[in-house]
Amino acid sequence: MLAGIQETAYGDATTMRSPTRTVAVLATVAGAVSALAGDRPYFNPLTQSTAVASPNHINELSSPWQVPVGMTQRNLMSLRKVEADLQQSVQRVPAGTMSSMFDMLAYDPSGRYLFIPHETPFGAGLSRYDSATDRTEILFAGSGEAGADSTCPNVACPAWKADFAAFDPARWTPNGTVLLGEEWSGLGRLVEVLKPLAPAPENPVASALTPGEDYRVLESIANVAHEGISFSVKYPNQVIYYIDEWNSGSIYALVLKRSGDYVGGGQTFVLSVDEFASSGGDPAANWNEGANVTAQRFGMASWKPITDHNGAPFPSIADPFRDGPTKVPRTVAETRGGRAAADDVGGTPYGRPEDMEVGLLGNFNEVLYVATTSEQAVIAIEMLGNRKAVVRQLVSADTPTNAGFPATTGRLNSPDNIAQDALGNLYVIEDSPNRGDVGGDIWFVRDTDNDGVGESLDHFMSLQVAGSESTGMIFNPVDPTKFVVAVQHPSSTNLDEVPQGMGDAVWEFDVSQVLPPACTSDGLLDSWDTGYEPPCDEPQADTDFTSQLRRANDTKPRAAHVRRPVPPVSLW
Amino acid sequence: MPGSQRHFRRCATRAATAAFLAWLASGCHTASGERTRLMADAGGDGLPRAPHERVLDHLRRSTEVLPRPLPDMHPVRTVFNHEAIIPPQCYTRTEGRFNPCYVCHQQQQPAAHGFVRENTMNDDDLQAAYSFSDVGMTNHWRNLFEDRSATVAAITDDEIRAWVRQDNYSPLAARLQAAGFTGWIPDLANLQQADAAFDDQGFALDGSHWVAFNYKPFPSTFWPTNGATDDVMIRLAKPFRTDAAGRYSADVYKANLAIVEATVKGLPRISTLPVDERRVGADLNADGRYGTAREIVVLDRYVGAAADAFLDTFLYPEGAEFLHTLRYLDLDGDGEVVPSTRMKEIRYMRKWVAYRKVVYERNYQLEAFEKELGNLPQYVYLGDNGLDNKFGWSLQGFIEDPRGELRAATFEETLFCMGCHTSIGSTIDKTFGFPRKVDGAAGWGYVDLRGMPDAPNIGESRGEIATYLERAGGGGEFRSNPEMFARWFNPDGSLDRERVAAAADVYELIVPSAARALALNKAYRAIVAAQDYIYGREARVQAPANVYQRVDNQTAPTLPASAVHVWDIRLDWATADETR
Repeated sequence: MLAGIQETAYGDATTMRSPTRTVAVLATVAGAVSALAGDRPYFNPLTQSTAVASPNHINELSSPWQVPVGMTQRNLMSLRKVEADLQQSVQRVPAGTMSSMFDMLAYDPSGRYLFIPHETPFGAGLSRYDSATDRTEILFAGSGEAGADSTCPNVACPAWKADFAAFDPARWTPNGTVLLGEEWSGLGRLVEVLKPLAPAPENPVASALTPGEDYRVLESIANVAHEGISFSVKYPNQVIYYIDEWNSGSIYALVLKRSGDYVGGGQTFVLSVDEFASSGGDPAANWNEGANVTAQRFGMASWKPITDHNGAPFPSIADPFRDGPTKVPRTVAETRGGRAAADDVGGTPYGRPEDMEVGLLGNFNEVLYVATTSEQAVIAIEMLGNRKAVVRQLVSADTPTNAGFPATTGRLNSPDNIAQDALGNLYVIEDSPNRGDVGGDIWFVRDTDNDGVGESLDHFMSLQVAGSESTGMIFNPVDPTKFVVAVQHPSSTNLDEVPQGMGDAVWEFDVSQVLPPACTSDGLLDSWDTGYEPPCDEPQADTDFTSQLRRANDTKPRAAHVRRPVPPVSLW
Repeated sequence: MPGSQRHFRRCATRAATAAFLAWLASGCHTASGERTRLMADAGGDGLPRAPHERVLDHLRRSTEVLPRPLPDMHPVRTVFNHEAIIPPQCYTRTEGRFNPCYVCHQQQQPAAHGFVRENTMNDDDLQAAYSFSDVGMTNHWRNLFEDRSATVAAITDDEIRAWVRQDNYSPLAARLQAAGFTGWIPDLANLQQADAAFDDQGFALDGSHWVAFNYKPFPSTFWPTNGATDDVMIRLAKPFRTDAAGRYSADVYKANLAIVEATVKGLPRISTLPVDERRVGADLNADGRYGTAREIVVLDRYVGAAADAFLDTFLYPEGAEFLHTLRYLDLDGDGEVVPSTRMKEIRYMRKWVAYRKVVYERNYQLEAFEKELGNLPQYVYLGDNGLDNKFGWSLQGFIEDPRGELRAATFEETLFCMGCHTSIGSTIDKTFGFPRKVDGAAGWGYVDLRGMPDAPNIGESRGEIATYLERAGGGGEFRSNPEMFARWFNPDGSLDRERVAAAADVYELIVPSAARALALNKAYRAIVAAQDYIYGREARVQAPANVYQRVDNQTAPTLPASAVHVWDIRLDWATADETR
């Protein structure tokens, strides 16, 4: 059973995109069939970012997102729903709209369980939603006693270092465990919940659990502001990528000493663009500060070690495993060690790297997609082997939107999360509205030649819940036409201000009935007077988008890294 | 599938798609369909009117205490100025040497007594240079530039005197209740009577538990010479007023008020109104016995039913409320300027959630991220409870309708409050008045500028007002108050230090003449009639000379480092008393 889980555990993040792949779409409206190239959107892109509505507005309760025609959305769970049932539980601390903070969701390989990390300022935890029983339970929780500043002088302030805080990512591991990472609060630790499929503990507070048996802090992972953390496609049991969510944030890789042994550690590397230093770059400065404005942060790059092969810090650089708050390393000596260590070896700074996905390019090279929120962009880091890589910009605010389709008022703004469907299509999720009166958006990345440089961002979804952001988008590993997204920190989470508020919630979407863009009788995509008419493909019943998704899902992990010979990790 | 059949279906799809597209293009698929309604609501010229203009039309006609101008539209969509959080004062010309900005924009203050400030906005760079968003570079406060000379001249002194002496406060609560208002409803009886509503220690006579305190008005918008008088009251939540058994205890309340003051100011000890330690059950002055405490040195916890409440320096406890009224400048029988019976505004803050400092730090960080990204500020709308400032406080307000009756402030009128109460570096837990309260027992009571010394700010030696006048190069943020120039400046523009030093008290320094008071009242009356507070609510007769209508971040003059000042919002009352 466990072995089966292990085999497919990394499936949702390990898809391959063929440069020659073509996808057609089965139209379900009016019983008609039409087709288009799969690299283009399989839906009618939105034409505007949606207006936000008041807390507990009917939009929040029934359809929080504006979606393409034909796509469905339904609520799976919410704070209100769970807290109304004494048999269920979900982590909530006294922190207003930040009381629960659903963040980057993770599925188990069966698609039955959904893991919800809580990015609360203190008392952070992990809840599990069971789709078979429609129940939510807490698996792990910080004490909730903390929350004071580390410099708090008063005896009334608890010793917050004992607590866990701001779990941003949840990631299912090939070992059948779940990783949680502290981001902006806490000490920058990575926590592994060891029995995520076991019955929920009676008392999920960490102090009541057994370290090493129920959970453990992974000291082999550098202390940074954790958000994106992913396993390699080619070396899922040996290479772990992660980032430091900071304006001089770096990108890290851990190459395990022993396959699947997270505790045993290994060698940690930091990405450094080869010409960054020679072009005047300052690794400790923000990405857009001083000489970094003109320094080279794209192009050929190298992975530079910050530890030896056993994970021991080099004496000449900062200890990357030093616990600490997230501060500016140049002025605060006790800040999280990973950041200072990256600066010491010349790690290239990016503007708040946040979420990441790992996939394969058309040349079958592994690629890391990283949202660089402050840069309004997503970068693609193509792995070349032998600790070399090349950094490109996948999309940015300058990327055309809805190319070939009616224009949209939306624009890429604060890209935060990234999701990947079974075909390897990427989706970029914003964490902030474009303006105060419209919601944040979700974009489909069109990369037609699969080279890591997108040609268009197509407007996919738009959130209409006041005060909230979309987060945690992830496709179901078994039913690939479905995905989930959370509404994070809506106004309605603060029950003092919004009695009976719905609160943070998880919604499920299904694209199988989405209305595809229409084709004209001459085989061209109907461009609605935009003057651009890209060719449509002839419809093929067996190549509709839904079928493509399902077939790709059935055959992954599979295509790229099981059937193809996997090079030894020494070539990483 | 045969080709002809495929073609038929393709055409059918096209027809269906065309219908969808027409629907999409109509805008009717939006959350509220407001686009359709917007287009339908055209002005006299046939052109569609912007939502904010329709809101203004409604307000000018409305007599409702709870106006709902566009009920089906989220109010954020009616906003005219999405940078309303930038107050008009931020557009003042600094001319490369004058600095009225330092009282708002500061770095985090260094720790004192081991206590660390909660405010990590760290925006002192805004003293030196303008740094607006694209939207913010245009000064949207167009009322500043309106010449109201004719309007002011048309109002007689008697008319304006009669106007400011009318009571528009007393009817408000009942009107709100009748309208089904769900936010805070004014609950302090006879507040229109100003000091007469309180006892000598500042406690409201009606038993509402509001407590008035004496503070030095923040430079310089709240100086009466710049348009208004004001008062501020604080109220702590019920557990802070009751003993462990849940009974009301004046001793517990007085002790907790003192502890809150010391906590917010980061003081190691504080004088207090006399507290019977036996009733409180704590040796507050640490003298080893229970007696009457006039000083509290045990400041690590609250007392009574709030003993277990979260406490940290520079933070208010959960449930704390502030009530702030802005009033016209009335004249008493001796010609003294006093608070009017009529209220221009009632402003209310409540701390719903006692966030820890780590949350404050995160929210300031997010604020910086959003600003860097060029995102315009956003706040959660709480309906009748106003706006959430992201730091645990809600803000709501009431303002005059065209007849002078008080009504609930609109979304954008409340948005105006958010900048100062959210994202400037000098405040303590988003407040101005309380950190500037006369320290300890002497500071409980209704605000009184007579006899109040010009106390220096902590870390400075000269009086705050004297210092401000010199640094700002004028008698207000706009540097355009002619009476203040005439009173305190030499003809060459330099400060007349001797005259300032000779001033008897704060009243003499910052309260206008009777003539100016009347003129400012009349000017504000004109804004009330127009209801266009969203274009600015400064009481001004003529346009200020030293204010930009548009600022270019790149070309506007900046200040040298020597003109950038470190400043503590708190006052050194002890030094002021010694000096006197």
